[in-house]
Amino acid sequence: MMKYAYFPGCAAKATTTEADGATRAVAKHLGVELVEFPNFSCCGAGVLHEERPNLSAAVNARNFAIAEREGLDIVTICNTCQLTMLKAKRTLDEDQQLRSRVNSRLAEFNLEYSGKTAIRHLLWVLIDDLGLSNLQEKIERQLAGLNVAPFYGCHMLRPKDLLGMDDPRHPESLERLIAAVGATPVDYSSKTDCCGFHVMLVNQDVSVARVASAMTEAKEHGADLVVTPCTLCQLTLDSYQYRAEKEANTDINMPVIHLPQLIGLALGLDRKELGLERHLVAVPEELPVE
Amino acid sequence: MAEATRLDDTFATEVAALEDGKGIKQCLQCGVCSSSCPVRALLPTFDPRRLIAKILLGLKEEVLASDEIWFCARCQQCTANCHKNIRPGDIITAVRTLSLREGYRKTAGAKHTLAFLQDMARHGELNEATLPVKTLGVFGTLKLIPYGVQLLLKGKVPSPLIGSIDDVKEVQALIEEFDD
Repeated sequence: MMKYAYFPGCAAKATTTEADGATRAVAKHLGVELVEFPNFSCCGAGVLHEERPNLSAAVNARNFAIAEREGLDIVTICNTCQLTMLKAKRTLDEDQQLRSRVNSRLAEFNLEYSGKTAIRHLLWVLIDDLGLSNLQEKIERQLAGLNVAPFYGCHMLRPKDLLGMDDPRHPESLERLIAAVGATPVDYSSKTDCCGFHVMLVNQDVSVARVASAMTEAKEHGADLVVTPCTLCQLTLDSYQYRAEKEANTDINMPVIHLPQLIGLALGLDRKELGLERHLVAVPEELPVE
Repeated sequence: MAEATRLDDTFATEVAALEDGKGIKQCLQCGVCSSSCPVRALLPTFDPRRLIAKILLGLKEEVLASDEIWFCARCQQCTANCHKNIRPGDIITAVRTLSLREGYRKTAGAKHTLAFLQDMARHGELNEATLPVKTLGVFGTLKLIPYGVQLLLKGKVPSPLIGSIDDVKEVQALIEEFDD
């Protein structure tokens, strides 16, 4: 059985909790065990790193060591958690001095970072570890006729030397997943753009403008809905869309769902279990599926 | 005549001494970072190439005290497109680090970053409910209320009364040890 240390990230624990619920439901259905660790700390989201870069590496090392003690790789559903953890991992693997400094403190908690634990995103677990053909075998409801626009999120693609799983300019992993569940991927240029999450408080106008342009383009290209693997992108694209509509006096109305919700729909899971009622831009009950 | 601007020719070296800033002296000022920056496209005062030029010139105070260093959305387009691989996005991170270390803590961006460490020290994780107030102040947060109502109706405004992760003392010990 596939088994991972589950790292939902602060957003899915507090705000976009439907992403957490949908991930658990889908994992259970696919026979993937997600082990919870109530002692995991926040990864610091790259923000803690700004104030104290070495502390950021240290708190992440602690999480990695907790997973490592159980012999597990970490799986996350947040792009920024993914990038932050990968950056911390690289620092710890390259900077031997910092690593021994961290390990001498971790030893007091009976923990050690040795670098064995891999950092995975749910997207790569589905594509590489589970495999699309195994996923397809479990599909109960082909989403034929549904036009789905992928929205990757920056920290799934860039920088390539840290993430490296997909072509940052011409990615195709989400398109492959969308096609695997029987839906039609919508091609549009904003799919690799920034949602503006990381300035959604400090630079709100920029976030609103990012949301408006990306969601309008998805709509113009015939999308019924947008799917994203990142809980932070989903939060921004969904919650700032109303504001984008108000400020530009226009109607966008583009539902934005989490990756595990799309998979869950194809697995025939209950709409409520997937949290599809929790979106600000309503996800229609009757999806245009043939 | 305007007062002469103070130049600090060690500023670029200070930036380069941080792991995130190590590429700065290789910058050719080609401008690919700025032309690929989605924030600059909307807000011309935010300009990564100019920011790097200011650092190389030694405009230390102007750079470290500015709001603009906090406007980067961390999208990594500059880093992905830089021909010299100097990682402009990381350089902005290094400048943020120096700015906080030099005591510039009044901008919304600085407050937002400082809130992370406060939450980590108390809970081991973020308190999503109090982050807007800590970043924008009470008045700034009130302006968000018309949009917050939508989140509230969907049960998406988390409670500020959160607990702590298990073994939070371990995180607190790391915070004490790693002040860098």
